[in-house]
Amino acid sequence: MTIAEDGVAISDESAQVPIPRTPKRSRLRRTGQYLASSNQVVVAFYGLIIALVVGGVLLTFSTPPTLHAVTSLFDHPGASFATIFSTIGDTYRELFTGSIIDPAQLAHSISTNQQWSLTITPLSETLVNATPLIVAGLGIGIAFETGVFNIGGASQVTMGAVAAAYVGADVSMPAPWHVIACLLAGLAGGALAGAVPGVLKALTGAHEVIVTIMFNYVVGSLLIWVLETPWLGLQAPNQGDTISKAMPSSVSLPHLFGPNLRVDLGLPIALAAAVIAWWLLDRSTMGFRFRMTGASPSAARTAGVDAKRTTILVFLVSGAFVGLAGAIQLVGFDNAIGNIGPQGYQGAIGFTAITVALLGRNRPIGIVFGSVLIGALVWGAFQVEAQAGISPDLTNVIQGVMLLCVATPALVAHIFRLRPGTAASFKFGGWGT
Amino acid sequence: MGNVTTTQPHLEFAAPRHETVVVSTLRTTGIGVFLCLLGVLCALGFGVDVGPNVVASFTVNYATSNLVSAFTVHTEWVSIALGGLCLLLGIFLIIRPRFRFPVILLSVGFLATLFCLLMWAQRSTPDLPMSLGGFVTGSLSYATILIFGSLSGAMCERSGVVNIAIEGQFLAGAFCGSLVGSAVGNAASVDMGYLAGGVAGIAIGALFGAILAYFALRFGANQIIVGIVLVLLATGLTGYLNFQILDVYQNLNAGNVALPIGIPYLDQIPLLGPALFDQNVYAYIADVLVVVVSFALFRTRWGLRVRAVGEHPKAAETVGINVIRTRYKSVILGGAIAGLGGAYYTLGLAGGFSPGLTGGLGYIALAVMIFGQWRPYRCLGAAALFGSMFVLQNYLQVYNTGINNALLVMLPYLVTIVVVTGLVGRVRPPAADGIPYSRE
Repeated sequence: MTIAEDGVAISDESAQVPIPRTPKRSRLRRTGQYLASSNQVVVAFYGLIIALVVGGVLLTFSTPPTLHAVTSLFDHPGASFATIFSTIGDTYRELFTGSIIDPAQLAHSISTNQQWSLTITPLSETLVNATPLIVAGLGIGIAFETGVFNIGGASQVTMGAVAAAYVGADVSMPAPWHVIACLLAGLAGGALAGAVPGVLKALTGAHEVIVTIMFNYVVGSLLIWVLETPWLGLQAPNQGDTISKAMPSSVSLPHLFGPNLRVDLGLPIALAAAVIAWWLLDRSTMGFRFRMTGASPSAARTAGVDAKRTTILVFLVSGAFVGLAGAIQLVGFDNAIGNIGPQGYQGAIGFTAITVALLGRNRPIGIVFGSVLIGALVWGAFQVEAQAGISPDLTNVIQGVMLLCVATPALVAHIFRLRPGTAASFKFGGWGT
Repeated sequence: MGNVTTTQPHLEFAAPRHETVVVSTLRTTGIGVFLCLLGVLCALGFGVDVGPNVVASFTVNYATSNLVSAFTVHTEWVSIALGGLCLLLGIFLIIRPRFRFPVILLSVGFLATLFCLLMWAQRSTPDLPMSLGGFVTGSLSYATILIFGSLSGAMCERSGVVNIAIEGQFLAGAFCGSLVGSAVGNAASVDMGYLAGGVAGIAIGALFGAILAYFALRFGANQIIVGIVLVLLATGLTGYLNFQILDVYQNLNAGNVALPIGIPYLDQIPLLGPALFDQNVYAYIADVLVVVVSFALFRTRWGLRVRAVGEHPKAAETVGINVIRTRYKSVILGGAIAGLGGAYYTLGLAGGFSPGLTGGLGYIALAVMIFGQWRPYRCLGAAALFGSMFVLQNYLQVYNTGINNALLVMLPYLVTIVVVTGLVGRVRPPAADGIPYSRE
């Protein structure tokens, strides 16, 4: 059909000729083809399976009962395999029931209509762990999308949390404004921590990977100094410990579903941050410059994008998001800064955010789902440790293997004979860029 | 992050010649200004500020810090003199910005400042003389692992593959070195343990190198991302196995440290003798490796091929070099070197594994490699600089200087940032560094 100039639809000759159309495929068939092609969801799913298999092998060779079973494999193959598989099965079952839902508890709740909050608790804890990861992952994702390797998540989380803690502990304000001020301070602190490597890279061309990692250590030490030095006004008084003052009640985020479940207002804030990040990347001029620089630095330069300005800006934005994650962690459920590790305050989420960003392929929606997955793994691993005494580092191994798969979709496609799909490797241009 | 074209290295090649000269002149002037600042700091901060008639006492020998061999230095005047020297060198660089070896002058100024700082730190504790020999020996102990790391990085990057997983290879090598070394040491002899531990470190390092190579070369994955993921994986794996195995069977983490082997006569040289010629076997291997890698990269046919592949893989392929295979070999070799470095860290320096014990040394090794411009001998010098920062930090903690320990701990990391941003300037890495190669 064409439209004639006077607006009347007329049918011309060519419309009579049957146009060869692609046959409409059934929904089932399309789903099957989706699952057989290498796209991000499928790759992540297969990556998780590979990671769980590797984790199972690792478990087999590192827990005493299974090691014993391995040594007596040829004497009693049946019993040995039973031991090995039951150990692996128990561990992964605990990982699932601890982080998603316990079927027995669910059945109990359904039959008696009681203890619902106990049933929901694992899911709630998973979301609690996912909340700061979402925000931090968004920040790292924005940087990755611009082709900037912001590995400084740990420093930005720490600076964000410290700034929020100063506002929370040393400034008094009415309740709702105080929380908002804390979160804004977190944004500013993170942006400041991001600005340092950003400005250094823009001015001197130093590669951001080294600068950000070194800055993580610097900020980690700085935090210990702040928490050990009374006159800086953040150390908890009369304790002598490296821990900050507790936050007053005016800066705790309200719980969403009653006092028994720890999910708090941080989750909607994180989701709002995801929407903002999506708008920033996909709808704003700045985001377009970011993505253009990430896709092709030389093309962006030719089109008139100031590379130095973009570098500094993207570090500011990225750092602000990651700093907000630190603040949310603080005003949400941590209530004080302590827990000093080699990477500083809860610095681990700065690294886990890299995992999340890669899993979500830098897309906000992907990062949200990736955070929930990783949050479940992290929380489940703690439950496994409590129940079976297995190191929670198991989850880091699982994450690592899964990430390797996600970072190289071609490998997963090769192993599982997937059709070519949308998932592609990240590109990188070397030290000189 | 769509298309970073593989033609980019050619653009880098075509950069106008005069531009680099302008940059380096600016950089020389900058170094001059920096030297002047150091001079002012020495003369005023460490000299005039401490007041007259203050002395600092030192000993030369390592370990035997007896008061008999101690000597004292007049803090104020020496600091002012050394500060003046820095100032002169700085002014020379400012008026002669085309001087070709500013880094040498900078090193002199750096050493002078370091000595002033040590005098300043020591001045208030006269009954605990500072061992200069100990300082040098300690610096070289830390430098050794950085040498392993930077050689590994240089080996990989000369062939065009970025090995950012050095930290992970260190951790894995340290873990396996301690585990295998202790197991064999318990079963056979301690010396066999050191041998087996070293071999285990090499093997696991090579394995991690092979994984990196497989992902980067077979599938063209982003080398930086795979490297960082490998570090996360190694951190998780070693942490997990430490919890599951080493914490349970503590005799598998025995914590023996290889004893230094003195070379007769040479180890009697004051100051440098014990540091250079009374080291343990791993450190000697590191020194030999510097020579071997430098020779192999720059004086052999194999090295020429590796460098060709790292600079212009298409040209190399055209003349019949198998790019992928060459890169595989370099990356696995590089991984093996870093793994041995990890084994050195537990069996030759720290004694025993603990999670995350390398504390970012793998990344500092990358900074060493960049500062050393991907050349083994220059890496050696850069490693000594960074190694001295770790020892300086320890010394300043021992001699109560009133600076918070947490702030001192950040010293090596801060210096790394300063060096990478301020001193290195525009580096020229191998042109195809980090760019996946495909034949089409």
